[in-house]
Amino acid sequence: MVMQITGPWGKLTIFNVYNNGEQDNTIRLLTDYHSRHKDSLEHTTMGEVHIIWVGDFNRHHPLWNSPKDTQLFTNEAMDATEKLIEAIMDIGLELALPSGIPMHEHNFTKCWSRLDQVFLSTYSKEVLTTYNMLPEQRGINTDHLSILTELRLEVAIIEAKAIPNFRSINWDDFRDELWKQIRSRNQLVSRTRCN
Amino acid sequence: MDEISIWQQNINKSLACQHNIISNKRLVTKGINIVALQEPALSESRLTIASRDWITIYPSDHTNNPQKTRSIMLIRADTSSKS
Repeated sequence: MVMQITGPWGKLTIFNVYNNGEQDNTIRLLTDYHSRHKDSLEHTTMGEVHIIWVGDFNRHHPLWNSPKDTQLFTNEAMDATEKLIEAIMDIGLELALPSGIPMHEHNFTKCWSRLDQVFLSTYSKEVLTTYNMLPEQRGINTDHLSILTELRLEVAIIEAKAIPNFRSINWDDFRDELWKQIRSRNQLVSRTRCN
Repeated sequence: MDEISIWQQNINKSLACQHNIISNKRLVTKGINIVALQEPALSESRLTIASRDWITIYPSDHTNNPQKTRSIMLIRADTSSKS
């Protein structure tokens, strides 16, 4: 799924991706989306354009996995990953997270590998301030770690509106005001009836 | 003004995991304004779990095929839509 954020700095398009490990449909759809929306993705009236793909891509490759994990690099796995690498190169994205950092613990083998990625447009590296996986924030019943990506692109925040606190009401003032409003309403009703 | 901070994680469809992320203060302390979840948890009403502090964005086909939803995004509710 796609989200687009704009600001005085330009335009950021965020793709949140879950790629099924058994097929390449998502990669194909992403490539197709980029070619059909090239103008919207790559042009802006002010500032610069930035594109980021985040998500679980379910692909292994020595580019991001530890090169020692040779059992992951089967011919089939490499062929599947080549399609992802071709897609990110065509679009002009590159790996934002350093290689070799594992993000996922296999349910049965308990081996750590890397399925989750952050791909960022090549020219956006200068706005990337922080990228990290958070091993202490793994969460309950999941085998994936969380990843935090911070970009030096600002978004405006709406100030929180004050809402009435009924617990701190002054009941004398409340009754006076209520009585005043009821009286004015009654006067209005009686005047309407007279007319 | 806040800088854009994205928290991403595959939840493995775990209700407990997603509750834990949303209810925990760590999203606030880390200044997260966008959460990108893969394999999100869906309740019996086929909606995901979020609090009033977040606006949930579903894939456009979620209403018709909620069982196919594999990614959702949450954006902090106080983020200006005019930015």
